[in-house]
Amino acid sequence: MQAEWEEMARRNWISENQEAPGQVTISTIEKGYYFHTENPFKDWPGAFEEGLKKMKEGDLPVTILYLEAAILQEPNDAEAWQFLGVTQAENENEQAAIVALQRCLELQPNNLKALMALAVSYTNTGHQQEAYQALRNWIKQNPKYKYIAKSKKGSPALTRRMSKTSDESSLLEEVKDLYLEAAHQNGDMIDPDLQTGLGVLFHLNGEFNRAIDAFSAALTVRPEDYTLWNRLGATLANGDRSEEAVEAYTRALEIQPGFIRSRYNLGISCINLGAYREAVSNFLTALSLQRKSRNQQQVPHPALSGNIWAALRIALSMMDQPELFQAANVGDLDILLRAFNLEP
Amino acid sequence: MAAPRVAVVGAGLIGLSTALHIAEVIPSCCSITLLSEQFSPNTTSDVAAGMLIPHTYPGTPIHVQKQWFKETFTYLFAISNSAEASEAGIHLVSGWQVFKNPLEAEVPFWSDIVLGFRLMSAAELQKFPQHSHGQAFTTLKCECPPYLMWLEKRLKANGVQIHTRKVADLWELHSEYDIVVNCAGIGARQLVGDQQLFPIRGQVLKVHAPWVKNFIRDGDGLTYIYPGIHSVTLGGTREKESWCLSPDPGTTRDIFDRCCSLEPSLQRAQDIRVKVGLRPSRSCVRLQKEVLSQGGAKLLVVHNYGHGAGGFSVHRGTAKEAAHLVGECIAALEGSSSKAKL
Repeated sequence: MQAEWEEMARRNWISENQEAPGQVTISTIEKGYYFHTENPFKDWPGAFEEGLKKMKEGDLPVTILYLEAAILQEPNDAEAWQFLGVTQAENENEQAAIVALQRCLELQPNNLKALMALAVSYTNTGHQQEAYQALRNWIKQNPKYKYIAKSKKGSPALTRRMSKTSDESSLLEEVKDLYLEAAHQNGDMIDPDLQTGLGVLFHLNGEFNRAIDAFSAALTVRPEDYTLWNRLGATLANGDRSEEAVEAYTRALEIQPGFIRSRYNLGISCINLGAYREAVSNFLTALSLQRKSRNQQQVPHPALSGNIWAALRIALSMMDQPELFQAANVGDLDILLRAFNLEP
Repeated sequence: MAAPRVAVVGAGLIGLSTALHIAEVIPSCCSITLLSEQFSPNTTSDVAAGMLIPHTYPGTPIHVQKQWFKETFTYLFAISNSAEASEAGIHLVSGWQVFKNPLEAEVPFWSDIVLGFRLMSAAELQKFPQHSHGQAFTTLKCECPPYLMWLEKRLKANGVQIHTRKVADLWELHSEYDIVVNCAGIGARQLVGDQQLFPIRGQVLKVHAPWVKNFIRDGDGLTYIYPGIHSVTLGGTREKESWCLSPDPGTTRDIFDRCCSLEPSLQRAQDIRVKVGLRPSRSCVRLQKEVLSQGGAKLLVVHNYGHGAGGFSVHRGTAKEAAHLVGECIAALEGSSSKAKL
C-alpha cells in the first residue's frame, strides 16, 4: 500500500513537470491548495508555533504538516499561509508555494514577505509579468517606499509607459525605476529586502552580474540568511558560474542542512560541472529528507518533488549505470540510497 | 531547447548502422548528419566478408557479446526472410568450421544463436582430411557493398543528411553539432588519439567460383572460404600493427594455396581480385560516452569503434547501445538547460 501511494505521488508530480523547459508549467490561476489528507497534527493545539519551531530546525516536511494543521484550524490566518508558502518553496514545491502565497495576499494584500516570495516563485516558473507585478506591489505596499510609487505616478514619462502596461519591457522599466529610486533614496544604507527585490528584478531580466551584486549586498547585512545564499547561488549558476554557485549553496546548506531547494540546486550545478556522482548524491539526499521526516510521522504518502526525480534520472543517465537508471525510473529510492551508501 | 543536432563520423558498417538506429529510435527529436571521408566501396567494411561468426573480445563480458550477436542475428535474419533480402545483400549460408585438434570448449557461446549448430559427423569430416573435428551450422552473411548501400538508402529515407567530409578533429564539429558519435573505425586512432586501438591488417581475395555453396573456416581463423552472392571471399591474414594498404603478392599466393588445400575446386576460380583492410582492433569495443572540455566549452561524444574482425557479427547490437547513449546525452543536454531556483 505504501509503495502504491509513493508511486502515485511520484507520477503526479512527474507528469506536472515533464513539459518542455520554457513552457508554462504552472498555472497562475489559483487552483486551490491540496492539503495532506492524513495529518497527524490536525487537532494539535499551537500547531502554528510548533510549525515555526520545526522550520527553524530545518525539518521542512514536518513544518508543512504543522502549518497546514494551523490553517485547517484557522483558515484566515494570513501569516500561516505566508510561512506555508515560503516553506513549500524551500521544499522545492513551487506550485504549492504559489497557491499558499496567493491565499495569504488575498487575506493580507500588504504582506511584504509573501509579495517577495511570490515574486521569486513567479521568476522561477517563468511568469515574468506576474513577477514584475508582485515586485511593484512590494514597493507600493511598503511603508518605507510607497511614497516613491505615488510621486512617480504624476511623471509624464511614467504615464506614457503606464498607457501600455501590457508591454512587458515598459513594466520592467517602471519597476526598475522604482527600485533604483528607492535604493538611491537609501544612500549608503543597505536595505537587504530592497536589494533582494533588485536581485530578483535583474535576474528576471537576465542581468545576472547586477543580480549577483544585489544579493551580495543583502548578504553583507544578513550573512546568516540561507535563502539569500541560495538566491546568490542560483543567480551564479544561471549566469554560467557553476563553481562559485557551489560555494554559495554549500554556505546555505551549512546554515540550514534541511534546505531541500538548495540541495536540488547544488545537484544541478554538479551536473553542469560533470560531477554526476555528487549530483546523484545530492538529489538522493533531498528526496530522502523529504521522505524521512514524513515517515517518522507515519504519513502514508510523502510527496517527493518530481523535478528532483527528473534531475536524478538525468544525472544517473550520465553515469552509465543502467540498473540504477531503471531504479530511478520506477522510483525505487531505497535501491538508490543503498547503491550510493546513503542512509535511508 | 531546440532539437539536438547529432553528427555521426564514419560511413563504414558501424557508422551507417549506428546512424540508422539513432534515426529509428530517436525520430524527430534530433537532426542527424553522417560525415565521412570515405564511402562504400572504399571502406574497411567493403573488404570484410561480412560473415556472422563472432570473434571474442577479451575485454567485454561474454553475456554482453552474446546479446550483441543475438540482436544482430535476429535483425538480419528478418531481412533475409523479407523481399528486401537481395537488395540488402543478406543471405543464409551453411558450412563448417574445422579443427586440427580437439576443441577446448565443446560449444562456443554463440552456438544457440546460429541455426542448426551441431558437431560434424565422421562422414562429413572426410571432406577435410587434415582436420579431425568440426562444427556445422547455418549463419548469415552480409554482402558488401550492397548492404552498405541499402543502409545508406534507409538513412536517406529517414531524413539523415549525408556529407563527404574529412573530420580531423572532433572539435571542428563543436559549433555545428551538439553530440558527435565517433564511428571512425581505425581512423579513431588519429581522431581521438586512442593508443589502445591498433590495426590488424587483413588481405583477402574475392574470386569468381559460383559452385562453392558452403562456407569453410579453419578453426585457427586464418584460412576461410566465404561464398557470397557475387563472389567468394578467400582469406586471410592477421598482421598486427601493419598499416600497409597495398596487396602483397606473396600473401595472395599463400592465401590461395591455403584455401585450395581446404577446397581443391578453387583451383579453377577466376577473376581474382585482392583487397586489403585494416581491422580496427582493441581489447573491447569502445562503446561509451565522453564529455570533452576545451576552454569552458563542452562537446558530448559517444564512441562506437574498435570492432576488430567481428564488426558484422555485432554491429546491430552495438548500434543499439550507441543510440541509447545518444539518448542519454540528449537527456543530459536537456538537464543542463534546467535552471537553478532562486
